[in-house]
Amino acid sequence: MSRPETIRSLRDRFAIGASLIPPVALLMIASRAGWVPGSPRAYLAAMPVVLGLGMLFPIFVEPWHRRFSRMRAWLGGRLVFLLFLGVYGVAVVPMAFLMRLVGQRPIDLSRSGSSWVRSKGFGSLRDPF
Amino acid sequence: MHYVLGISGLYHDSAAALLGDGRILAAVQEERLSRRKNDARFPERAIQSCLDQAGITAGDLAAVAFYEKPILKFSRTLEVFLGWAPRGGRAFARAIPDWLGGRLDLRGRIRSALPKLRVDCPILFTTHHEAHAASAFFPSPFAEAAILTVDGVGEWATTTIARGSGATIEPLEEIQFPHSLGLLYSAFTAYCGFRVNSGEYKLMGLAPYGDPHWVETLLEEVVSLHEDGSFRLNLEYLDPLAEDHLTNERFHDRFGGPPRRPDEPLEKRHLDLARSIQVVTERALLGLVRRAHEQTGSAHLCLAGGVALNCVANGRILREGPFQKLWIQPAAGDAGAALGAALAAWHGPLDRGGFGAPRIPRASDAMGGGFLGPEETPEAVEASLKRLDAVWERLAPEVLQERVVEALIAGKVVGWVQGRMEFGPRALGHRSILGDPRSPDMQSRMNLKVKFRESFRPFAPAVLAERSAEFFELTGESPYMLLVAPVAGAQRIPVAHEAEGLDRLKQVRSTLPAVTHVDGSVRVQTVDPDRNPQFYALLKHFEAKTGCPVLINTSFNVRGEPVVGSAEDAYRCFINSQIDVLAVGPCYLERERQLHAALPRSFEAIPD
Ligand SMILES: [Fe+2]
Repeated sequence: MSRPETIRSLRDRFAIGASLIPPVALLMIASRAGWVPGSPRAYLAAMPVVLGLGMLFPIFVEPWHRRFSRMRAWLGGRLVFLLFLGVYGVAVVPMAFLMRLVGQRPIDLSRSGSSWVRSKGFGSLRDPF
Repeated sequence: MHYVLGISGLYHDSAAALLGDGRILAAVQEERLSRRKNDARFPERAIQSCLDQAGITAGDLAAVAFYEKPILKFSRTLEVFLGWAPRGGRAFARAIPDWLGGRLDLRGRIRSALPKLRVDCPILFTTHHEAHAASAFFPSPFAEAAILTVDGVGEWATTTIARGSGATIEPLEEIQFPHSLGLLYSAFTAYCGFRVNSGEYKLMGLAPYGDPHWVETLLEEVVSLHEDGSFRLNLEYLDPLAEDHLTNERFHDRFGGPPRRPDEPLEKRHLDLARSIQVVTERALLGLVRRAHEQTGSAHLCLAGGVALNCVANGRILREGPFQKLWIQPAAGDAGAALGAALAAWHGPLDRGGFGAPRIPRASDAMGGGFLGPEETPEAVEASLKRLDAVWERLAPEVLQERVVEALIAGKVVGWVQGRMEFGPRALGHRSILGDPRSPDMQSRMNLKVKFRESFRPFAPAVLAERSAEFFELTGESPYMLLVAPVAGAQRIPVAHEAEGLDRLKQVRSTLPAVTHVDGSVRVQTVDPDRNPQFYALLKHFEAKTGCPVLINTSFNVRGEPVVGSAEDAYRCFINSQIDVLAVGPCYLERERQLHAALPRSFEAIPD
């Protein structure tokens, strides 16, 4: 009941190989700027090679794949967080203040009186709303 | 046969349940299989386990029911942010991408997880509290009943009262977010240093050590209880959208300091707060129960929702409430809502998209003792043990019981894994650690050496149903360990001088010290031969040898671990803790004969 997931479908293998391409692409860009040794062409040629290696020998490449995936997820998560924080400040907060100006507040914060609400029924089971 | 699959999850405690022509065939929590406590991920393993237990594939399903209406919940989430702004930005930036990343398109998610599902197989959605209400009423033994569901929050509702009759549930009234007893209790759970959505029962266990002198402050400033049973929270003290703590600076100033970190010692203040919030919760629940009685006029009450796992409050509802009979869904939290969603779809009327199936209540209940999970064959158990280089003896059932009882009498701690796995948070004698309750040091020993958890946590007694009244002041049965009752007068031992705080733990208060709380109460499990024959036979055997029909029964896991599922999980837990004996299926294992001193654990440890 506590088995690690060990399935290696063609899709998994492709994902492992493909995840190695972006770091090589970064190296290619860096080599063009002269920040790392080697020619951009060599890095370009390395791309299908790492893809193939990843697909043929996933077990050797997997630690790198995992590391890159974690890094990508971390970076992506931070970017999305900042983006939505911006949306909150630019859209949600002004809208909330506007609603309050016209006397609307979607949550009931009052402290007095009964809080019972007559039920409107459960609605159709077919609808997700 | 018509198979209906119910699913809950993506918030906490994911689970799946399967009905065959309305009969509950299987129900499993994802955490038991994934080995991640309170696993909230989509319950793929639990779904597969349910299908495997019935011997079917997703292509055989007549319907799939999800326990919430995702779009309604999403719109509530947005409205709450609008109501709470400018606070809540961080919570917004975390929650909304999660919603947009797949929580909204549940149909797509379910179909991609179940590629064999027929194109014409409907995917249905109950409301969160409809699923709780269905899980409370449909499996109950009552033809008609009042239904009360209380939790943190569903879509908008945090509390609902409904009337159940035959195959119909009629919702009557509700209390909506942010006024929530579950949220309030969770706020105190986090403030006292425990994890929200799993540490609530620790707070409940801590309550008897404290004094209730914050009750009046709480009632005047934080929560108001009204004559009609409703309540309101004062949001000037709480932050329902905070990610770590649900309390704010004003709360911390009022209640004596910042929230306790999990590694900090428990102070008297925390014990008193635990006691006070427990008292307030009990009063609030008694008010709700009285309201449910007024609204329905029924003599029966069905309970579900996370707050219904508060067994101390449940005991008071039974003793002091207006209802003659009480039935609580054993998986009262969100895991049980998977079962509720399936049952609501099965009995739901045709015009709502349900199957319109009638319902015939059973004399006991329809939960099969709560044993709805997978079971390994003796051969599979032996294969696992062999793979792990274990040393075992395969014994006939009577011999196995004999040996286990001998070990218990010798003061040993026994891991007991038999039959189908439990559904719900309590181990009921199929995935349990057992001990002799007559031993005064058993509670501390089991807590610190076996379960590696706080020494204040009490254990529960499993008692032969027919002898329960001799030991506990319990009217009726408690097969799912969801009721707390006082120790019977004849079993009590007076305490000369009452100690303070956690020192009260060391004082002997009854003939069953290892299961008696400091307030003289116990969380009882009554064991009967119909629901739980194997465990009943073991208790009978123990009674025959000792005269005592009671055993300590605690869940088979260590701190941060979900209850064990398989023989492999059990063996790893046995080796890594100080359990003396393991009885798994027909196999008997003794610690001193094992080759391993430690094994890699099979679970992701979740911090408190
Ligand atoms: Fe719930």
